[in-house]
Formats: sequence, C-alpha cells, structure tokens
Amino acid sequence: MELLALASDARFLNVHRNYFERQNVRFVTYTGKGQLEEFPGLMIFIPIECQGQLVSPVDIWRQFLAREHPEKRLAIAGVEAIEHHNYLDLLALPRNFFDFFDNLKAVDAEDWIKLDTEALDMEEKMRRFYEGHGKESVTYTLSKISLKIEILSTRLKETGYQQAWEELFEPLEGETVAYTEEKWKELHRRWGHYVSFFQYLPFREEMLEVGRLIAYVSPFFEHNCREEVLFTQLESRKNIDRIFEILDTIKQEYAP
Amino acid sequence: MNKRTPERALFIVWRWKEADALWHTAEDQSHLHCISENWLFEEETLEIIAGHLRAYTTLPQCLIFLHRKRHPRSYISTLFRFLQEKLNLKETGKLTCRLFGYGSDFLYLTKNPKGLLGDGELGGWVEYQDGQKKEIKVIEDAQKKTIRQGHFDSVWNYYQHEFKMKVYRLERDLSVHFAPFTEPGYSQNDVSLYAHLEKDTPLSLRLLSFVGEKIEEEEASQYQEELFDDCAENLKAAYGQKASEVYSQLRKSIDEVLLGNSLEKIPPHIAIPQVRRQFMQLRDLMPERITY
Repeated sequence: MELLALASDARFLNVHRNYFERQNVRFVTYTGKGQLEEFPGLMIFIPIECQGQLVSPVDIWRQFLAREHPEKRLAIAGVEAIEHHNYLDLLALPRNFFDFFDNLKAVDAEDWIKLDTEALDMEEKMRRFYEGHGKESVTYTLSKISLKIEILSTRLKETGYQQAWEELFEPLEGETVAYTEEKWKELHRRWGHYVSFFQYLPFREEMLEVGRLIAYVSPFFEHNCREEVLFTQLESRKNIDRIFEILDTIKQEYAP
Repeated sequence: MNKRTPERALFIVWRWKEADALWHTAEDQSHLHCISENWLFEEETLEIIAGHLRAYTTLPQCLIFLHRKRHPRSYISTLFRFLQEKLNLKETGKLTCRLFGYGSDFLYLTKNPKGLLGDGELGGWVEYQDGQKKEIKVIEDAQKKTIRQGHFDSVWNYYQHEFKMKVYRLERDLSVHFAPFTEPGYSQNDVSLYAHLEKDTPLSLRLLSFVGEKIEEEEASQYQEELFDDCAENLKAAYGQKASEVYSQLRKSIDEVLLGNSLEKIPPHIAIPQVRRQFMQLRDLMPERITY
C-alpha cells in the first residue's frame, strides 16, 4: 500500500524504513492536492518544524478532508507520547500496521478528538496571519485597496489617470507616506513572514497563487500606484480581486 | 532611592565599554542593564546586580546573561544563592540565568536580526555568513537611553520558551535516533544503546551536557546554544524542587539506558519509552508553551 506523507523532517520518514518495508507500506511525499485521489490516505508526521517553530497542521487537514474527501484516512505519527485514536507512536509500533490503519477513525466522525500536542495549532497561526497585531486585518486592508482600485477603474472612464490618481492616492497634506503604498508594504512583509507555513496546509496551491500575484502586482503599488502603464500591464484590478477572493475564502473556512 | 519597578529586567554581563549602563524601552516597562565584566572580583558584579534589584520597589521578572568564557556553570548557583541572600528572597522563581557566548546565541544580531548584541555594543554593523554586511540599530535614542521595543521583546520572548524547547528537541532527537531499536520483533534485546550513540556528534554532546558533563568550547563551538550548561541550576530556580527531583531521576535513567552504565539490560522497546516518559514528566512541570 502507498500512503501520502507530510513531514518537515525526513528523519521521521526514514527511521522505520525496514519496518514499513516489511509491512509493505510505502510513503510518497505530499506535493499537492491532486495526489489525494490516488491514495487511500495521508500520514502527517508531527511536529512540523518551520522557521524554528513547532506547529501542527492536523486540525486544518482534518477539516479539509472531512469537507472534500471524507473517504480518505488521516493518520498522525510522531515520537511524542500522545493518546489519540489516529496517532501512530513511532516508539510503539504495532506488529501489524494494518491493525492500526484499518481502525482509524473517519475524518468526519463526530467524536473525533482534537489532537493535543506541544506544537502550536496552525489554526492559531492562520488567525495571527489574518488578524495581525494592528487594528486592520489582512482582508480589511485588501478590501480597502480593492475598493480604491475599483474606483480608479471607474474614474478612468471619465477622466485622465493623473487626475484620478490625485483624487485617490496622492498623500494628504502633512502625510509622508501614502496609505495604499504603506498598507501594501505591510501586507508584503506579513506575507513573507507566514508563507513558509502555508506549504504544509491543504490550500498550499491557492496560497502559492496569492504569492505569485502579490509579487506580480507589487511594482504598481511600490510606486504608490502612480504608473498608469503598470496599472494596465499588470492587470492590477483583476489580480487584487483574485488575491482578496482567495484569502477571504480560506479565512471563512479555516480562520473565521 | 527606590525607582519604579519595570515588568521585565534583563541583565547582560559582557565586555561593555561602559561599566554599568541602564537602557530602557520607550514605555519604560522593560529595562536592560549592561554591566561590564571587567570587574576585578566577581562579587563586585554580583553586588551591582543585587544593587539594581534592591533599588526597585518590587522584584521584576529577571533574565540574567553571563558569558560562558568567564563564568563556569557552577557560577549560576553562586549567583542565585547570592541574590537570594542579599534580597531576602524566599524563592527564586522570578530569576533566570543563562550562559551565552561565541556568537551562537539568540542575543546576537548575527543569529537573530532582532537581537541586541553587535560587535561589542548594542546594535551596529553585522556581517552575515554569506559575507553581506548590514547595519542594525538597536538604540532608539542614545540621549534618552532608549532601545527599540521589538529587539527587547524578541530576546525576552525567545528566552521565556527556549529552555523547554531545548529539552523537547533533545527528547525528540533521542527518540528518533533510537526508534529503530523499539520495532516489534527487534531481536537484539541486550544491545548496548551507548554503542549506537556516536561520540562527539551534536546529539551525544547535547545529551552529555544535559546530564551535567562539561563540554569543552572547541568541541561544540557551532552549537553552544543547544547545550545545557545551565540546566540543573535553572531547573531548580525556575521550576522548583519537584522539577529538580524529576530531572535527577531522568538523569539516572539516561545514565543507565542510553549511556550504558548499568549491568542490568532492559529491552530497548521498554527502556526507551521509559526515558521518554520521564522527559515528558519534566516538561509537564514547565508551564510555558514551547512555541509562541
């Protein structure tokens, strides 16, 4: 049997290579959602270590699988001593792996118990990404930027770019930094801090798309939206709306 | 004269140019005392720290950093005893002492861009491993003696969790290393696990330092921060007598099971999870989380 494996540390996958060979189990590293159709389940090796922090993506994965693939099995493996119906203790392996695998609780089971580990739950990490430490959340900031871009598009049907820009983006008297440019930089910084955590989550492809789009439209915002040619060439309106749509959907589902 | 008590006081005894300087963050709830280590007698350094703490109306949470080169491990217990006596402290729960040095700790800007220590001063030009140089400002206003809040917070928050994290990482890495010996049907039940712990590897040096053996600087210059040269004293000071007892039991088990100092051979599939259980008991006595 082949199983998908998600791990940040290859040692976990290799440590019992002989055992799993004897059990006829082979792990295939998870790279994207497209693989899920081909395998009976996913094993997450915890904790995931990222940027020196220990995190657990288990609960987000369970929610995702329960919604999109309730027939798939979710197993969790590690060397911590944890009591959990779907946990494989790598220091106390069963004689027959399939005794464990066949008895895994379904991901949509109502009596699924939340896994308690030393690692920080990724749901908390997601909340911090969205809410941050300031007054404005990522989605609030993006919605304001998106609205400005929409108004810019509308105004461009009536007037020239320079006039529309002055109305919307020119820093007010006494301001040294323009609101939109500043907020964009803040979003960019926050993105850079969290992006490596997203690779361990089921919506990594969507987040990769957000990352690509942020990098793509950044030249427009870095010049405080001053260049009409960048606005048009980079399809800024369409791309900002797409970034907002992806992030807002994920927020509603996993960090409400 | 009593001065207003900050919530947090950080002491760094290092090769400062100034003998004894007080820096603080703008909101004045976080104090950084930079004390030169060039005093002739160590008692003078201790007296300076005690003097600052005595001047506060109440005792703040304290984090004291001493340089590894000048302060042997035993000095930490001397420091705790001295402060306890001089300040009439019933318990030492608010005091933590860490050794640092050789550029490998989170205090250094080369290790942590939000750290504090540059080349002999707060902030400054930092050269990274790839040869790039960057100026990092830690001081906010030299006249007002203020430092940047983010840098203080980064160091402070890290060291509130660092010790437990270090224990957890050692437990995890030992478990992964010895896991193959726990597999069902593993035939060599009288195996010497010590023979499978290669000498002078980072893991073996971390383990030896955890049980209290002194590791020479040149043996572990790349990963000084992963060592436990301040383990036993801090465990007792920060987590109390119970933690000290659990640590002693764990140390005994490690000595017998992993370092091979017992004639009685317990099968590895029983002995290794036992060691892990004791690690867990120790971590359970530490209320902080390992990730923040």
